[in-house]
Amino acid sequence: MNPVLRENLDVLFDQGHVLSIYFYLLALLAPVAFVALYSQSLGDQMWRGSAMLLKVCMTAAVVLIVYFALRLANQEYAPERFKPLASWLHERRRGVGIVARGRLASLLVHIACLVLLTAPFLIWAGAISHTPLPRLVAMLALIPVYAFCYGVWGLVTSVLYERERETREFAARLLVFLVVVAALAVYLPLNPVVYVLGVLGQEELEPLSIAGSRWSADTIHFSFHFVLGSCGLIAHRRVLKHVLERGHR
Amino acid sequence: MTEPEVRRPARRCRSPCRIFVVLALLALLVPAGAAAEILIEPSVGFHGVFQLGQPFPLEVNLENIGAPVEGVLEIEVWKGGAPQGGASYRSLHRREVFLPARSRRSVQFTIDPDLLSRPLKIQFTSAAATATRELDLRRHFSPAPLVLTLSEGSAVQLTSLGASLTNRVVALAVAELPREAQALSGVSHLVVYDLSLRDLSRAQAAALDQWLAAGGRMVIVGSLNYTLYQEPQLARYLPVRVSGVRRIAFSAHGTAAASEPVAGVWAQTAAVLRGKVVTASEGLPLVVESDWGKGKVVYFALDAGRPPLSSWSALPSVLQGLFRPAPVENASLRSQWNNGIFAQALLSPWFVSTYVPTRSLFLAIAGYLAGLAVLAQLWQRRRMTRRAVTAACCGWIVCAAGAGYVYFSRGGGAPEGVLLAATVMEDASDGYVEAQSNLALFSMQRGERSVSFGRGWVDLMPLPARLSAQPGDPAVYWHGAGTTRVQLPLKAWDFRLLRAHHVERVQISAAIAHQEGEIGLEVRNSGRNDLTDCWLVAPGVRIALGDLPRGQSWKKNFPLGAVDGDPARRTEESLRGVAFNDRPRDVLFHTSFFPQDGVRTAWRNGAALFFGWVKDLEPGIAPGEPHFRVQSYALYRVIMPLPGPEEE
Repeated sequence: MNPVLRENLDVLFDQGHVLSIYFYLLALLAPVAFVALYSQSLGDQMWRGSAMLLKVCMTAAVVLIVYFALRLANQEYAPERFKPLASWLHERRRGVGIVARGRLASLLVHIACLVLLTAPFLIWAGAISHTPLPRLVAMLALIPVYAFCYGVWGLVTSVLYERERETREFAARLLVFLVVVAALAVYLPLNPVVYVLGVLGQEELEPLSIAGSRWSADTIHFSFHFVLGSCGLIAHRRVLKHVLERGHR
Repeated sequence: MTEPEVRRPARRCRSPCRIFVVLALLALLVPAGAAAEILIEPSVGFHGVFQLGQPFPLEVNLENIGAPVEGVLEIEVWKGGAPQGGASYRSLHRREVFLPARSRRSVQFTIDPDLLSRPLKIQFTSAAATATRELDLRRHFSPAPLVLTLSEGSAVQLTSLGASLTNRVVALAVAELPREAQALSGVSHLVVYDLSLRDLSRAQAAALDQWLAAGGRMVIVGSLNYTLYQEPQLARYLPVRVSGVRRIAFSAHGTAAASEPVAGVWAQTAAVLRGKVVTASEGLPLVVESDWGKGKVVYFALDAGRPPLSSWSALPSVLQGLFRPAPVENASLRSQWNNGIFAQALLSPWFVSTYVPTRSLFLAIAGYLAGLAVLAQLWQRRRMTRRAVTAACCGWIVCAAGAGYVYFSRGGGAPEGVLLAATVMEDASDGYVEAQSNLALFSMQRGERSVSFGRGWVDLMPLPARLSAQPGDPAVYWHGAGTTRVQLPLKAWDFRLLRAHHVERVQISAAIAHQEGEIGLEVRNSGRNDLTDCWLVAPGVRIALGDLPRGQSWKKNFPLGAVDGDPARRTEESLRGVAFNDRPRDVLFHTSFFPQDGVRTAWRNGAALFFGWVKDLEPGIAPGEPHFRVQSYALYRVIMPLPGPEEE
């Protein structure tokens, strides 16, 4: 097993630090799911009833999982228990690839756990609101995509500001905030919540016209997140290399 | 080879050929016979006449000249359109019919088309045969209500009746009376003369009762055969007890065509049981009127179908006096009903909790979290290995998610849908109420939903606005077994708004009397349901009276203070101040008193009003599916207009 991943699992799982994250996640999502049962609306042609349930739960789950994934990637929980990067790269002479893969794998494990824990709420909400199973599965698959694309930037900031905890937390939040605001300003369906609500509501999302050519909302949305995630991965490797080179100097 | 030997094989060949040709011809005949198996012969209204804009009976005679067949008889009518201020939409009436071999059968429907420009389509469909017939209704309607006369074919006809009325008069036999009260909507008067009602079926009698209670008028003309009037089937309608006949001299006082008295007229001798004696002569009640719900029964003791009265020149004007038109429909009952009102009722949390799986979701969430907490505890205490905890955790999550999905996708213990019935009942005297029900049928799951209603329901129509949105999904009325079922295709989380209008007996009566400076209220609850949250409202007066349990009555007087300003405004102020602890009741109450659609309600000129909620009243209309919840609200009210200052 990757030593960086093993360290992450030891600190967060074996020492129980991850339990507080799960507690907050479930403590926030459970009341939302229950109260959303009472969110009704009467459209022009259709009474929506508890059909809003999945929309509300999905929105809450996306926001919470992205938030906690970002914080986990940014090593905001028990940071003093993790070995510094310099220790991995210089003292233990681990390669940038091993460290990057280990940190990435840790992020993926946490995302998987977060999605797994919230899955029953979303599945029940889907069943109550009679959402077709394929659409429900697609929605569940979207959550880890968003968590990864935004969470990977937590890995970047955790390397950039490793020794400055408050700056690190602020930088990660600011980065995600700016991305979200910029996306909303440029094209609304770039936002994960807007996109999820549009898909669940079976709404026809407005295509984007760029230089005379029209692009569907799906294409733009997934391209944007692919670019966002890829840039995060590249940036993560680069900053790790930068740390390695700085150590050598 | 000789010639006969050559011909023999040719002959051998010809015989099978002939058989083949005959068989082929027979085979051609078989489908032709099957195609012409069912013959449709419709009969519209009452002997081909119906009143425009009112429901009417349609009798479809089916003749099967082939093998036994079981199929569906369907009538397609067009509703809505310009007369109703919306788009036109189809409405289907269906009935399952079995036709034995070489048989005839007649099937009765009650239909209510709004558009006569489109033909009525009648179709019989089965696996074996299909037959279609189109009917142009434009040749059959009458703008005025009809007058029906019931008399035996052999009996003396009321020849003067046709001359005395502007309405179309149609003579019927007892067997031709419709079995649904709704079919009599276009009939203003029913005349019974010299006839036995022994052959009246229970369904026909129930339809007559309902029609009368809803405002129909029955005129019973006496005859020499007085024993017919002593039969219970006819006597139950009579306001008198007929004991015999005798000859009297009759003069038409007060009529335009008053003339010399006619001597030797046959008159029934009778004792008055109820109602009001309008005309009497020589100690005999000649014209007696009694109420029947909103309707009226008029008894005329003279034999108008036999000489000397039948040939009397003033008879038409005398008969005309018996046919007073019914008052116009009470517009104040027309409470508003639309998506907005429905939403207000729906959105109250109490109401929501009746149709969402609140308890089961709560238990599921609590159970799931409890399971995770136990696993976390085991992990913290190192009772299990990391691998075992991970496996147990994954197993628990998968099981909870899977079981919950199966359970909640089947409804999760919540109803499949809800039927909301909001009824406003206006006192129609004699223990009857005229009720208008606003109905909403909503379904959480996709499927064909239905609402069934008994014979008491005079009128039920889906609101056209909802149907026009989905022109491909017509409402289907299934007839049979004494009830009618409206089938509505609904999507998941979809709803339909409907309206019903009927008259029924709830045995609650309330009377308001305006005396010198005070209001007298007398309420008697002889029904099966309690009357709750009762109020008395008048200009400047708003009194909460509390509950009136069944079997009890009130007789109270309340002072009516000096009313400053416009009494109508003061009444409205008093009404708007009425509040209930229940949001749906508040909404339904205010929409029933403040319709906002331009209708001038009865209290607008200033009135004294009594109202209360009829507790646990069964709406008389039921969802066709067992897992539907019914929420019924029924508001009973009496409105007594107060005299204005000028009238006082």
